[in-house]
Amino acid sequence: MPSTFRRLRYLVGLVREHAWSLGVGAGFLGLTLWMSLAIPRYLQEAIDLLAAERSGSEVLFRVWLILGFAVAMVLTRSVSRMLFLVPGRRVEFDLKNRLLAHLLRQDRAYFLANPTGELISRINNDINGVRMLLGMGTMMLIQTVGTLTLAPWYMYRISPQLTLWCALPIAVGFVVLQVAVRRMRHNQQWHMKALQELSDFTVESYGGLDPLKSFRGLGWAQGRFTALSGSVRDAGLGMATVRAWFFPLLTHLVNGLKVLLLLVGGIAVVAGEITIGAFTAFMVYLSMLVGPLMGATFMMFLLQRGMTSLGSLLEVFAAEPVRPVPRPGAALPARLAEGLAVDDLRFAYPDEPAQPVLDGVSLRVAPGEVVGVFGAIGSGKTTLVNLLNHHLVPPAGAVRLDGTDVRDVEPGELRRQVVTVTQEPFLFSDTLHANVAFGVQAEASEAGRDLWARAQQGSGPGREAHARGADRRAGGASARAVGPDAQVAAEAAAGGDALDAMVERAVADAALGPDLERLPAGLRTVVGERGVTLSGGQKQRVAFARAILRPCELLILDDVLSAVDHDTERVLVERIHALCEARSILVVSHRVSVLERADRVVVLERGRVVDEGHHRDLAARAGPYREAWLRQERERAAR
Amino acid sequence: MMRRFARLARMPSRWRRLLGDGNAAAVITAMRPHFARYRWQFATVLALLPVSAALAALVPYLTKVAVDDYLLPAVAAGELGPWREPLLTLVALAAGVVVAGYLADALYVRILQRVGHRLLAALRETVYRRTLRLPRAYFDRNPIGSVLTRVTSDVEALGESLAGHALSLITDLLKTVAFVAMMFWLSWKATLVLLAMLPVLLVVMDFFQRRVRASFLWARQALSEATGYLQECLAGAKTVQLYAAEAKVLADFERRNRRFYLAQNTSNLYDAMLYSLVEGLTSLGLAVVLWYSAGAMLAGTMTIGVLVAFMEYIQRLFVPVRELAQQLAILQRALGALDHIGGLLAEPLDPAEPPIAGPGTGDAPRFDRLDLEAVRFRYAPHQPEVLRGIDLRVRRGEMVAIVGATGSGKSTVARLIARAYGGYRGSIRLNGEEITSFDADRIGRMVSVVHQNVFLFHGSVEFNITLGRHGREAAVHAARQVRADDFIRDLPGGYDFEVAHGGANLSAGQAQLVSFARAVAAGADLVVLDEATSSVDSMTEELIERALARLYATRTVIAIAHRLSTIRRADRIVVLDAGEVVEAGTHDELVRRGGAYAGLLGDR
Repeated sequence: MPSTFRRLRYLVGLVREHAWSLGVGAGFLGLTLWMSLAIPRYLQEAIDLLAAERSGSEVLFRVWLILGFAVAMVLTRSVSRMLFLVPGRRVEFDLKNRLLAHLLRQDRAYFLANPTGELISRINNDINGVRMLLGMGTMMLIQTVGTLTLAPWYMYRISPQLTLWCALPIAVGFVVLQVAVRRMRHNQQWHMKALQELSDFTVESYGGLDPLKSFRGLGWAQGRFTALSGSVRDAGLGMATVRAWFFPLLTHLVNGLKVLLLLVGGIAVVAGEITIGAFTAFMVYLSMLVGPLMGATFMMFLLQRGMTSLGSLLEVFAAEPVRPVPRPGAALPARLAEGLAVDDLRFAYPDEPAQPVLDGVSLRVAPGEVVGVFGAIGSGKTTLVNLLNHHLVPPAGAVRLDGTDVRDVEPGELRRQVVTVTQEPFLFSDTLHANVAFGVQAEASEAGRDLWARAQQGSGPGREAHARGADRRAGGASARAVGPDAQVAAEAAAGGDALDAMVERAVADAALGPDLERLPAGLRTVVGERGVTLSGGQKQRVAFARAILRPCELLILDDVLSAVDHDTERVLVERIHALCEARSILVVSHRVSVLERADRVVVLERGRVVDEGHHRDLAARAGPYREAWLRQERERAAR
Repeated sequence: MMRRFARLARMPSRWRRLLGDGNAAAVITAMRPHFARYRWQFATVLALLPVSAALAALVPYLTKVAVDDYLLPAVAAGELGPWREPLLTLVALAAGVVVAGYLADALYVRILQRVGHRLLAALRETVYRRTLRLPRAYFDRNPIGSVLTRVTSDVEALGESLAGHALSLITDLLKTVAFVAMMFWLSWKATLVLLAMLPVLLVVMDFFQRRVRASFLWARQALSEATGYLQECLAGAKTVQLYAAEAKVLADFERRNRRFYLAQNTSNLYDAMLYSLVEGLTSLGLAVVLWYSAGAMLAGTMTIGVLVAFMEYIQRLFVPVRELAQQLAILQRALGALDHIGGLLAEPLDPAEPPIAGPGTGDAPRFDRLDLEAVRFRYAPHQPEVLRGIDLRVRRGEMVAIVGATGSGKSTVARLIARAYGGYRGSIRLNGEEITSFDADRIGRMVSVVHQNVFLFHGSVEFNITLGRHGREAAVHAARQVRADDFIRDLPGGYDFEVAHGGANLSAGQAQLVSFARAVAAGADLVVLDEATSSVDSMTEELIERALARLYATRTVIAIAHRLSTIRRADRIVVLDAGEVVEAGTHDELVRRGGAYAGLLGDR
């Protein structure tokens, strides 16, 4: 957790950023407070006038004053609330944008350690905490402190003696309430925990409903549920006690003080020390204390939670991916001349350093070549792919594009030239059109670049990052595709009909035509969580269409045809070979049929290259490749 | 204006409709016995509520008496003198009223809260018990998360709003009624003047509330869209990174985020005005009463004491109005929750599932024969038939393998035998008796199912084998039978080893062995084995095969088979294709025939 000083410094930064709004808001709030405290004074004067049986016009003047203040307060209070709450929302908006940018910079290890669901709830909780701290929290702070100092001061001016009579009981009541609130919070945490256990068990029991039913475990499940539910109930009963005895305390205490006032204040009135108007005003001031006293607890909770959230958020922002620093000036040529060179690539995952997944892999892919990588499950194929596209960090010098070590260039820069279709394709719950156009639009999109560029500087949420308009598009649009693909990108950027035509072509190339006809709205069908669910093979082909639409120099296909049927596979292999005119292609597969036409096939086994050659040579010599080929031939014959 | 009034007046009927037509009745029916159990508590609360309201209304009245009858005469006389005694008595009385009011408040809150938490627990348990007995098909249609929401969040929401907010709304309203009654008694004219401003206020507040609600909905929707997109961006972070699409998704997210920001600020604007208006009501009321008093007092129809008492009443008169807006939203959420829970309670139960008694420990009856005749089945009325006339006979001691391509219906056969689904046509007889006449408990004693996806509970290994029905000895015995004993003893803590949620700290093979042991421990004679398709390493494969060999030797087994080793061992192999039995016989016979079975083998 970052130090209190750092958190406060950051908070001061946020406040300063919205100083104008918060400052004017505080002014209006002060005005509101002053008016609300002035009203009892006019009430006092009016009552005294009435008691003296003076003429109505003087009283009416006070009535108009009170009425005017009441109406003015509605306005000033509205304005002050807006001026406080909007900056809170603005901070929320900014923080969310910045946080997403920051998270998108993180590496595989970070996402493994922080599951998406956890990140989302953290983002929501923490940002809400900071928002409430800045908006509601600061507002309530001013309001509470203001009322709790000004009202007693006015009361003191009416009668020091009466004020002292009231001060001690209220202080004691407030302290007692604080203790109760602490107990309440303790009970609430207990309640939350019990509820969490209950819901964990419920989910588990539903997941295991089949075995529970067939093994007659329902009675047990119900018993366990009842026990857990009883624990939730007990926590609730604990809260009930606090709520019943302590929460009404303050209101009734103030009522009791009013009764005391009747005696002490009454004697003072009779003795002529205070007027009957002052007596009434004092009662009104006393009533005004209840709200802030009760609210103070909530305010302290807001402030406390806000500071915790702020710390947690700063922690998230502090995470930096472990990745080599790009060499300044290192850049990839727009068109590759030599292609990809992998030399003696060795790799082990950090959690199992003794188990090398890749053990000295070397391979070459020249421009225009289609190279296959064959290997069984667990041979290290996907790890290899992830090292080539810099999803994992390869050792120095092992992976080079046209002689440049991929570690030396920005990952984003590299990925403009190397496009990967992963084994498990990810589709957004958006239209098919948007999913296919995703890559090429990403290439062309200008919006969002400065946000991204700012996050790239690794500054986190510090003050520096707040500088608005700081080097717009730094490191963004600098490297654009040149050559035939540049035109494609330009067309995509234009959007509209040109883009539609491109998407349609890519979809046809990915053999999605017949599938589209069966979908309700064709390319405009929304897929994913809130739309139509696609089969694994369909998803793979959408991802494939997305990739071939995107201009690049090296296309990596990681087992992307594993879930399509044989006829479709044949069509797609055809397309892959047609595509290689414009780029190099690396096809990774455990199916021999996909690799038959490749210029070369590298055979991987347990992280080593055990063979290399053209399909006809590999199929002729003994080894894993030939075995797989024979199996496949048998299957083919059986059909 | 008139239309607004009409709409205001319609509000309760809208709720009534929600309560009447909706599913709330089911909840009330289910909870009636529980309500009855707490009738004395409810009666006490009903008696305390008016007392608490009356006591609250009494203090300002006593103030009025003190001011008008003792203080002002004393001021005029210049000394307290004869008024000292009655003033002291009155103050003592008022103090008693305050203390009694506090006790009444604390007491009814305590009773209601305690009863409320007990009722909630009862409701939660009722709902959960119900869900356990729902037919399998219900869980096919509804994701676990949404069922969970019914059991936990919805019940909590109901409790929070009914026990907390609805209650305070009612008591605040009662207090307001008491205040207004007292004010009427003290000065009905001043009260009418004060109340005259109410209609105007209600219309203005309704105007704002309508806008607050609309913009709030808009904001909620925008938020859920933005959050949904954020979640996708994070779940698909790798894809975003591999396409260097960070700037694009950031721009897309910022657009959605901005929509939420704008919607929220609109909502804030109306909310701020509504809040300020309600806050201003007290001052407004003060001015109005003062204005009336100025005239009335000069005319001698009102006293200073009444004015002072009115000041006190006004301070608290608008509390319900202030909270109404907020409370209504919470109340609506509660009604929604009530409807959801009621919907779940109204779901038809699985006819095979009897009311749940304690853990069943009855004896396992001997299995003799199972006969399926012309069994046809579809999962839902409009779906194609999955089974289209299946015949199958299994005798005691046999080992029958059912094979077929994905979608041929073999797992469905297993589910029907285990009675996970009803509604088939044809007949399925166990020992000559149709299984629809069996309840789940009896089926469970005769048939054990080893499911394809092994499900392990968060608990000890022993528990996972016995499911709490037998002791350690039975667990060890069962584990030995399937040769799981060795690996279990090697675990830290042996049979007490805590299995993590979903069995995450066991390997796939170990989990399968535990599930075999579970089937053996259940003691049923007939084991339906839905073999896992997931690939395991060769060592585990060997372990599993050895375990299965023991199982075949001691039990009658119907295996939905994927492994060649399982299939070869079968006394009979039944080949399914598109919901029909196309071949049956031993391995050698079927291979010789060169039909569908031979084709399946070739694909392997």
